[in-house]
Amino acid sequence: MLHLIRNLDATRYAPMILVVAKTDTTSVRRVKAYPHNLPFDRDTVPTYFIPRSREVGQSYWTSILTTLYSFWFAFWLVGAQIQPDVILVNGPGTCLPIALSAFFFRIMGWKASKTIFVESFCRVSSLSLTGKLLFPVTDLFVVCWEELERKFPSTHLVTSFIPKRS
Amino acid sequence: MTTDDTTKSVVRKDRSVFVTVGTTLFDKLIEGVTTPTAVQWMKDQGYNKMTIQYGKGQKPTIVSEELFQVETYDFASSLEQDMIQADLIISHAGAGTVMEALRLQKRLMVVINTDLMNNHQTELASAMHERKLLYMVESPNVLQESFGELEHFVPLPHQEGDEFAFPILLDSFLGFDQNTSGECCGKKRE
Repeated sequence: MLHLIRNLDATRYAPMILVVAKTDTTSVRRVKAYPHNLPFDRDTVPTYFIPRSREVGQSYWTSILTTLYSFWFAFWLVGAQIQPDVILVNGPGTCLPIALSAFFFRIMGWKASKTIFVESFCRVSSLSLTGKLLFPVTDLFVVCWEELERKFPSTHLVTSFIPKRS
Repeated sequence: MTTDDTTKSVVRKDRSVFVTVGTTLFDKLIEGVTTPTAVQWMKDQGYNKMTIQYGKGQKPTIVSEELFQVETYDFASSLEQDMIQADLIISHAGAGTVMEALRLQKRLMVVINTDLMNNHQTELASAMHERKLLYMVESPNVLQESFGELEHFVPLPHQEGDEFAFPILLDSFLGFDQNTSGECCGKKRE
């Protein structure tokens, strides 16, 4: 994600706000340790921690409750607290409630955020589960490999992550 | 090069192997690079140092020898320095690690963790192996044999893709540079 956003124009995309899963212990550290410039102040960047829908090994019934809670949180975050113009997600389950909330607000005719989904660099010839679920509800769907762009022609190919053959 | 007076030998620059599993647990890889076969192969290739980042797994028991130094640790906030100093990187097939190693133009051997379910990591490693950007090993069980084949691996020279491709796409999509927002690059959605 950080490689994706590092060259964004900070004057066009401001304020930038980060959303991280509540039990994610490494992402914030990685932001602080990122060795290149970022288009935001890494000490003061607003960061929200969204509860996970389900932790590994959690029981089915409590998962229903925690999923509802994380969706409620996402609704509040997207619809009330931040009301973003642009939402950029790159695939983990954490992004599902956020992207779906944005879609809901758009079809209700309320604040219309543009949602951009960048498929995982790992997905060469098939979409991730999150990608499959969000494919119909996102405004811009980015893939990293030609194989996927061929299969899904409405996606956009960005190959900056693949070293080109010289 | 300087001369060490006590042993009267020439102090060489380190030629090192960096082994990394990122934030995962991949004990089979760690075991596979610390076997006598593996270590001997590394020494024969002229490596005199191995750094192992073992993640969630068990700390390896291997110790340094006089001509082959070993350093191990579980996590670090950034592996970049160890990657920069490495002459060979052996890693799990995690996208972040692979991208970083290739960006640094490092010789890279990727080992697939066959214990993982839904192993889509193989897709990525295979695609890159086919493009001769790295050398992929399909399972830690065949790692020992793979060292010999790695010697014959010649990576294709490559350069980093355009790091402004995504910003340009995003700017265009949001209508920053043109006055038609939402229509981008001839691919209108919905």
